[in-house]
Amino acid sequence: MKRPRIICIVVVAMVLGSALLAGIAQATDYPKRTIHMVVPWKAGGGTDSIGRGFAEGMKAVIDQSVVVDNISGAGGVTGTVKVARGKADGYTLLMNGTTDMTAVLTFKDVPFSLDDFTYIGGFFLSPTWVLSHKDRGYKDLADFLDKAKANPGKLTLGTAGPAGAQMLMASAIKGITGADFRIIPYSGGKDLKKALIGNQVDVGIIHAPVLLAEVKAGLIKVLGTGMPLDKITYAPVRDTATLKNIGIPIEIGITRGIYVPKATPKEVVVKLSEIVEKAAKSEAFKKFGKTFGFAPVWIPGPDFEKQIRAELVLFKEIKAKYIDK
Amino acid sequence: MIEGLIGGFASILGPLNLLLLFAGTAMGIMVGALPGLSSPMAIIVLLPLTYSMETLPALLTMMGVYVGTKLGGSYSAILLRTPGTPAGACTALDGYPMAQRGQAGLALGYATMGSTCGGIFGWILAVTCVPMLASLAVKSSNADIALIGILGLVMVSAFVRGSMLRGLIGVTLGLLIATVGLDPIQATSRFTFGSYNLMSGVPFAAALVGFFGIAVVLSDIKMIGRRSHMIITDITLALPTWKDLVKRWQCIVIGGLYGTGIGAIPGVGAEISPWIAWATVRNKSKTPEKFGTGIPEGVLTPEATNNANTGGTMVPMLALGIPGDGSTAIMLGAMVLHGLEPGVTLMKNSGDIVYGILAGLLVSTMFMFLISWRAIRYFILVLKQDRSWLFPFILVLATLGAFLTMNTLFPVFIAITFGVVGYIFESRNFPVVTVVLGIILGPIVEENIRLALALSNNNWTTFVATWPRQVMVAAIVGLLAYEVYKGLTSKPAARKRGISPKPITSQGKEDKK
Repeated sequence: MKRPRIICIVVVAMVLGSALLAGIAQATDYPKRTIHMVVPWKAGGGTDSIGRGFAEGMKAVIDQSVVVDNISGAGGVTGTVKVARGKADGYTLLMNGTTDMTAVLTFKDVPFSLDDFTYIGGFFLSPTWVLSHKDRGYKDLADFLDKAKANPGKLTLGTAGPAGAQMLMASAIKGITGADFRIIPYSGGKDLKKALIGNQVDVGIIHAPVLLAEVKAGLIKVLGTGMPLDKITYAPVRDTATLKNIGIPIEIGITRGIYVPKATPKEVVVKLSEIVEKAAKSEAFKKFGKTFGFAPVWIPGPDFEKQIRAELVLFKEIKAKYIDK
Repeated sequence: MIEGLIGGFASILGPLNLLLLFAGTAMGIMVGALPGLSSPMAIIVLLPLTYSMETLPALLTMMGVYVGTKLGGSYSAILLRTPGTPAGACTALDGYPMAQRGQAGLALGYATMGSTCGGIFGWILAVTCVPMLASLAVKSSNADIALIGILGLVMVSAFVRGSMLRGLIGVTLGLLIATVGLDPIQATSRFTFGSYNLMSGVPFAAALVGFFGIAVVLSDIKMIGRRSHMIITDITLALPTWKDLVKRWQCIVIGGLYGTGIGAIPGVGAEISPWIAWATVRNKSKTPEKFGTGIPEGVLTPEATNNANTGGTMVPMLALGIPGDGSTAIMLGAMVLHGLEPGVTLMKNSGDIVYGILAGLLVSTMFMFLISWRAIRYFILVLKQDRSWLFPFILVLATLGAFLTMNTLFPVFIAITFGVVGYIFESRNFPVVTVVLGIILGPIVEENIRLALALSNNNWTTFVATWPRQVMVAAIVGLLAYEVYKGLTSKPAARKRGISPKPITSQGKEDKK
């Protein structure tokens, strides 16, 4: 009697054990091949550089290689949609900035929504800052706004793009403070950079750390920022006044993070989150952050999702209140 | 500047870079010599092949091709009377009669020397102008850029073969295509038909692949199985003596000046400058009636011009990020693929690449001379071969090139569409290059006009506020007014504009023997 029972137990234990092992194996053998990180922008831009830096960080953490695919077009929508509709196996990740997704959702009718993704986490936060050529002589953002109020319709404020976070931030500042400046929508960061260096516009709004080299050289002045600049490597601008400091109750900055399609299996999401967190805290990525201008951050998936959804609500509100009117 | 240039030479003098530059130049001469294949097409084909290379070697290979095609075009112009490239068309006027008289070797010698001297002339101007203009360009305002773009568009339509009316129709068509997508100031969707793919407009790199890659293969299909008839088969290059060259220094200087100057105006490019230089030299000559009957001046001038052009087109490409012709447009696209940011900040941020390219231009011109001097007969052999086997490769590589610009299939469909459109245009003798420039310059012009107006609080006088702007506006108005005046006063039959006594079409017409 006893023997069969023991055999029974052994068999059951073995079956259970192997099943359990298989389960563990299934969870742990990810990633077993090359991971593709889709950056929905052309090579050479800010998001692309951060993506490549982060891919190096991931490579330092896992044994597989991580390849950056630049699938550009339609203001980042092409690549984003491609991942949202792609295979949900954890081998194709989306690396994009929060405001790049929420701004396009605010302004345009696009074939994706925030519900299409599982949020792995955010790892790089760049506040959106307000810059000016030193010859314009503005002390800070409040100074510019005072002068704008004194000369209605005279001063100009450039944004990097007609339908992005910078445009929303500019419209919100104008709407909330009532300062009457003209918003000049440059078609991209490249054009605004040129206008700022060439002193053709009073102030410009762009994601930090764009133009950091010129800031260090003293040619460009940082007037204000959408979020605290405490993580920036260049210490002298760390205590720049935020919008909140001068009584504008909004926070704007772009967080680059990793997204996967909604249907990605839970164990893969768990494992990937671990990898991404380790990569965000890796020495390789910290080193990248040092050369790029900001220390990395780590925002876990659920918080990251909350942040991006709140951002979309804020953007839609700004658009309804100050742009559509 | 000098340190930068020395650095540029130092960076390209590695064995791999030199090899690629050499291979590119040789490939360029071959492509240029084959009627129907053009330099933008060869650079499109190189796009996927150089994708995995480092930035500078990739661009150097393209530079080699760009320089080589200019000379290669003269081989077939002289030997077949069918120019291999549009830029070589003028060379046929005097080159072919020389060959008929049995002076083919000498004609090729003059072409080689003309190209080399013109190339060096253009290089010197480019090297002086690019750094100077680059430091000025940072201060250029939106109104300046808009006017430069408009001037380019008006000039390309004025000088294109056929009539200015055709040119303007082509440019307008290109501008219309360029309006697709979000508008640059308010982000309103224009002609996107609800497709998010069209939000950022028709990708111009893909359109170029269609126009210069797929369309050309489509129109060359009729050449399959046909071999070229050459008047002389045994050719040895006879370089002119120094004395003969020095005697004709005017041809080189005039050609060099026109080539560089016209090349530096965005859009006009190489196609027209040899004709203007040729006509100028003829008018200055004491024996203008001899031009067109086969005299060395008639070969030397256009060849000096079209190679000086390579230096000229570098100026707007490197200093402003505005392409001067189809080839430089694709090179700019390649720069973006390699993570560079073409524009006024290129010199500042990637000065090493800029100087590397400039150094490559000179070295490639030297290679061109050496190859032509020592190995011309192998390239002439190629002329006699059936080249239909090349077409499948071109199609595959062009498709890959289109795919690579965005890493999706969307640009491939765009390329195929514009391939068919381009074929229809080309077969109706409609200048495709005007449409292409409309597509490329359209967004630049639109954005800058609207920004200039926004910055000046919608005051139009910003476009005539400084003297350079006044000069440009005067040139634009003058060109248009002259054309209207000519159209009103001349008889309809004489309206066809053409400097050449016998119009020679650039592509596809060959001896049928």
